[in-house]
Formats: sequence, structure tokens, C-alpha cells
Amino acid sequence: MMTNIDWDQVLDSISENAAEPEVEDRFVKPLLNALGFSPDEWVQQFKTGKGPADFAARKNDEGDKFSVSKINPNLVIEVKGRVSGKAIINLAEGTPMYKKAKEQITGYLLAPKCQTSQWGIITNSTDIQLFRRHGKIVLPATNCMRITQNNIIDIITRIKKLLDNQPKALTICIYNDKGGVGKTTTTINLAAILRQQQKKVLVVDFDPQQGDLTDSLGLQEGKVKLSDCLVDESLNVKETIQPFNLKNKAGQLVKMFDVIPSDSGLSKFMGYEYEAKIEKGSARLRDLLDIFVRHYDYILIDAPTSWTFFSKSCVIASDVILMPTEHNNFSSLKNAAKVIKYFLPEVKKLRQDGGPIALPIFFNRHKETEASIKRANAEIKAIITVKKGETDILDPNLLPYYWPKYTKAVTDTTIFYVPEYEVVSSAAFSRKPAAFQHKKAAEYYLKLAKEYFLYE
Amino acid sequence: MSNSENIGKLMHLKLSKIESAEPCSESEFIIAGAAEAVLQAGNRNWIPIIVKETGDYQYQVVSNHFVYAVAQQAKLDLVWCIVIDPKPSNIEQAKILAREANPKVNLSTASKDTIIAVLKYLVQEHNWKTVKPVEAANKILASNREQWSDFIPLTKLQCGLTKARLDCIAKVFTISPPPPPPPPPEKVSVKRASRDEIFDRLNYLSTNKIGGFENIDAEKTADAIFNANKGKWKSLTPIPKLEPGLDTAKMKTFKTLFTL
Repeated sequence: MMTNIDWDQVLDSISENAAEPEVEDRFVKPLLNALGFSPDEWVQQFKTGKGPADFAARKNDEGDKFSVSKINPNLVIEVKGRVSGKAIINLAEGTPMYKKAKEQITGYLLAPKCQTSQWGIITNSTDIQLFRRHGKIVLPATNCMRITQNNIIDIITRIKKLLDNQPKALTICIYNDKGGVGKTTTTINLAAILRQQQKKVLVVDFDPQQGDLTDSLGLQEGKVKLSDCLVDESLNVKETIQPFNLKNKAGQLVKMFDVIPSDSGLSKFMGYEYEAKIEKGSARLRDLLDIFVRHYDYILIDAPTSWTFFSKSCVIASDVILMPTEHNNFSSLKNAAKVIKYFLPEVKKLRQDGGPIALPIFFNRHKETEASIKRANAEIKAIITVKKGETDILDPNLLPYYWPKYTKAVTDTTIFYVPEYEVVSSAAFSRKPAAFQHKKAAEYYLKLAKEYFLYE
Repeated sequence: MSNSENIGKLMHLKLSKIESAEPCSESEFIIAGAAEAVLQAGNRNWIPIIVKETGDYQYQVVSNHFVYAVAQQAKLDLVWCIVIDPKPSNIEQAKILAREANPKVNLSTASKDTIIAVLKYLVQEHNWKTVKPVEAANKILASNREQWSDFIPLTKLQCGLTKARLDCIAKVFTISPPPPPPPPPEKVSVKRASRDEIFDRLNYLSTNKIGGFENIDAEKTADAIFNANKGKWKSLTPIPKLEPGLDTAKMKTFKTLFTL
């Protein structure tokens, strides 16, 4: 289908001062065609329930034409002109217009009538970016690309390939550069709660030294070891999987979720000579986990502390980074900033697809007192304050990850938290996540899952 | 995703994943001896093979073909390699450093000292008694070598560089008139341009030393212009006030590649 369109001609036909309707007619309509949507598979001005999206599209089902039924779109598009009035619109990443368009597409993808939408595009025919939605998360699926006559075919091919191979899973890395903040506990309880919500979950324990997660679930390494898969492509990584089972009331074993356990071989890669055997280095784990993204709803990776081959592998393999912190642990707050400011950009540069993204931090094992909250907020303020000329401002690159509800109008410094609860940490000895045993623990982690991931 | 994670690292790769397009011409006895030395060192080749990636988990030898031949002779399972960025210029460099290719000197532009050095090398290598490097270099410099399109004019300089020797000469010299500077990029609007587009143009002016732009920091200036709040600009006059900006003397040149 793509070969039918002369893209040189399409791009030449768009005037430099094209307003939005011209971009829609001359660029977006051929684009939809190239992405495989026939004219009765898209509509304009789709009512999302949170404002109209410029375009919405879905493949027709048997006996249902999307252009007629106008329900359950798969893709929504926010179009901008190259100019608006006399003002030039620059959609390059980081510009104010880009931020606005990104906010708009995120809003549409999370709107009531887009609950089945998985993809969003923003474009003004000069720049284009694809976004993906998973539950409550909207994340970039490509970087924001500048369109030229030389790369237009590649860009469309790249977008089409993603649309045609919809990944099912959201891959979450639970990471903080600082240890002892409850990463493993968070991982297994989040897995438990997602399973209770009927989600298919895979947990990856990529901690070479402790393997706490594997131990706390009472699991052993599988027939094939993950450490061997890192160096040998002929092995089947599916065989590393160990099911985590629990007995139901009738006494039968029921699978809760799958686990790729940590194994005794992983720690040898802490030595240089072994690490040299891993082709693609810290990008190798991402390759290995790729076959699972069409099978599970969630892949949770428990990453070890500090920025090594292991944690970097986990971050590269992920869509989003969830960072537990503790309100009374200053380093855990400070190190989260290090992840956002230094480690993530490093990985984004390598990935070239806009990912992964950080989620706002949360307080783990939180015991709320007026004084401790005040102190934590003072510490956070110190971490995210930067100088702009002579004045102090809150760093816009950090603010949304600490105080996501803070705006110029409302100085809301709420941070989500999981309350302290003794049974959560002691549950490790019973080889069973606390969320499966205690109502209260389940409630806490369901809140966490809803805050970040689950669409209500 | 790009595989840049591999690049520049010393890696321990399966020999079976590495192929070679060029045979090694070293004698069997030397290869066998070297293989023995590697085996005695616990199967470790201390001089790595230089490879490039040809696909996912696939490699090709770029240089140190000798080590590759030795590794095969020794029937190694894993071999130490360095994966390089496969830009043609890098591959050429790796071959030159491994002495598998000669660096070439551009006869059209080379300095006198360089030409003398190359001629001395040729004389020594081929035992050319009739060539006097200094004299020959003087004659080449006095010629209109910038206009040459091949080596034939060399044979007319009466300096011992005869037609029969041209094959050897072509292995170390090239001829190419210095290329004209690349055409300037198209004008862009500073309001509309991406950061890369701004940088490309500043970098063009800077690398081609146009209008004093060789003294600017193209990266920082591009950032300053891209990040400036340009919504209300009515002309380009705010640019000299940016930090770092451009002094007003440069604005004339600036306007050859930028509009508002």
C-alpha cells in the first residue's frame, strides 16, 4: 500500500505556511492510507469524552464499519499546522508546542471513549511522534522525528511496524540507585496484586548477588539459567521460567505468576572477562525479554542497586521506571534525581525510541507524621531547586517526578505512599507475598497499582 | 536499537559467528606456530581480531586477519575481538594500523616533506636506484600537480618515476584535486528550525571558516538560539544579546543561512 503514495509529491504539496486543515488533507490522510487504514476506517473530529481528537482510526470488524459506529478507536491523531495565524508552530521535542501536543494526545488516550486506544500520533507534517498507551501510562513509542524527503518512507515503515506488532506488556523496572528502599517487596506485591486483577505477570529477578526475590518466593533456578542465555543464543529463554504457585482452598496448586529467577551464574558477570562474552552488553537483556512482550500484560524487573551492568540492563529493557524511596532516607530521594537526570538520558540516547520514562517517586513503608513530612518536603525542595540567573526555581526536569500534582496555581506537594505495615516485610519468611495474605497489604498495593498503572 | 553497546569493547566472541572475506596469505608454518603459542597461553589471543557487526550477533573480520587464521588453526571456541564502528574510514584506519593497508598520501596537496618521505619509502621498498627523493619532490612541487587527473604527468618529470613504476606509486599516492567546499545548506527560519538544523548551519559556517564563525562554539550557540523565547521576535537583532550570542559583525553572514 505504501508504494502507491508518492511521498515526494505529498511533501512538496504542503505549503510552508500550511494551517491545520491543509496538513490534515495533504499529509494525515495519505499517512492513514499508508498505515493501512481505508477511508471507512477513520473519522475526523472524534469525540473522546475529553475534547475532540483530530483523527481516530481502527480496522473494521466484521459487520462493523468504524466510520459508521465510531466506537473503540485503536489510534488517535493530534494534528497541528505548520503555522497558526502568523505564528510558526515548532513541534520539535522540548518546544512549548511539543509539550502542549503531547499533553493533548495523552489526555485523549486516557479519555473515556478511547479505552481501547493503544496508539497516538502527534504531527504537523514537519515533525511526527508515535505514543503508546498501556493502562494509565502513555509513553513514547518513537522519538520525535523530523520528516524529510529522505526519511519519510523509513518513518512510516517504522510506525506501521509498531502498529502491526502491538506489544501487550508494559515492562516496569523497579529501581533506585540507593539500596534498602524495598524494591523487592514492591516487585512481588505489585505482581501479586496485578495477578489478582486478572493480569498475566512475569517477574524477572536480575540481582546477581542477593536473589532476594527468588528466595522470598521459595523458587529455584530453572532448567535453563538466565545467565547462560545471556551468552548463548541457542538456548530457549522460555525454559528459564519458574511458575510461582499457591494452593487454593481445595488444596490444588494454582499458578499465580511466572518468574525468571536469579541464578548462581549471574554473579560471574560482575567480572570483566565474563561480561565480555555478552554481545550487545547491557542491551542484551532487552533482546532476551522481547519474546515475552506479546504474551504477558506486565513484566516486572527487580533491579539491583547502583548503576552497573545489571541495573543498566534492567533499565534498558523497560518501558517505565518505578522508584521506591523513603521519606526519611535522604539518599533515596537524592539518588532518584540522579536516575532521572543522568542515567535515563544515557539509556534514551542508546534506545532512540523516546524510552524509557520515569514515573513519579513514591514513599515506601511510610509512617506519616507532620514533622517527617515537613522534613521530607524540605529535602525534596533542596534537591529540585536550581538557580535561574539570580533566582531559585524548581527544576522543571525534576518537579513532575517528585511533586506531580504541583502547578503554578496549586502548590500541591502530595507524594503517593505505601504505608508502613509490619507484616509486609515479615511475609518474606512465609514464601508468600503479603498482598496474598493480608487484606490491608492487598489494599495498599492495589492503590499503588491504580495510582500508576491500572485504568479505572 | 543500535548495537553501539558493543562498540569499542574488548569482547569474547564465538569464533563460529565470525566470518572473513579475505584469506590470510601468511605461510602455514607461521600460522601453525602462532596457533601453538595461543594454545599454550590457555587459548587466549592477547592481540584481538578487529571485527564489525554485519547483523544481529554476526560479525566479519576487518583487520588482524592473521589472528583470525591462527584462531581457526588453534580451533578456538571463543576468541577475543574488538568490535569497531563500521564507518568505511574506521575500517580503513583499522587496516592501516594492522599494516594490512597502506595509508595514502594525496599527491595533489601533500607537503614537500611528506612527498619526500613517501618517495624514500618507495625507493627503499623497491630498490629504485634512479630515483632521488628530494630532487623528484622539488620537480613535483614545481609542476601544476593540482590539475593532474592521473599519475602520467609524473613520468614526464624526468625523475626516475617511470611508467613501469606507476603501479607501486598508486599504492601509496592518490590524486584528487582538493574538493570545493560543500554547498551551503538551505536557509531556515530560526523560529521554525529544530536544534539540529540550527546547529548544522552554524557548524557549516564554523568548519568552513566563513565570516569568522570558526571562533564560535556551534553547540552552545545552537542551544542558545534554539532555547531562546523567540515568539515575540520581530527581527534577528536579539541574537547578539543571547548567551552565548554572536557579535553584530557576524550577523551579515548569519543572515545568509537564517531568516526570522
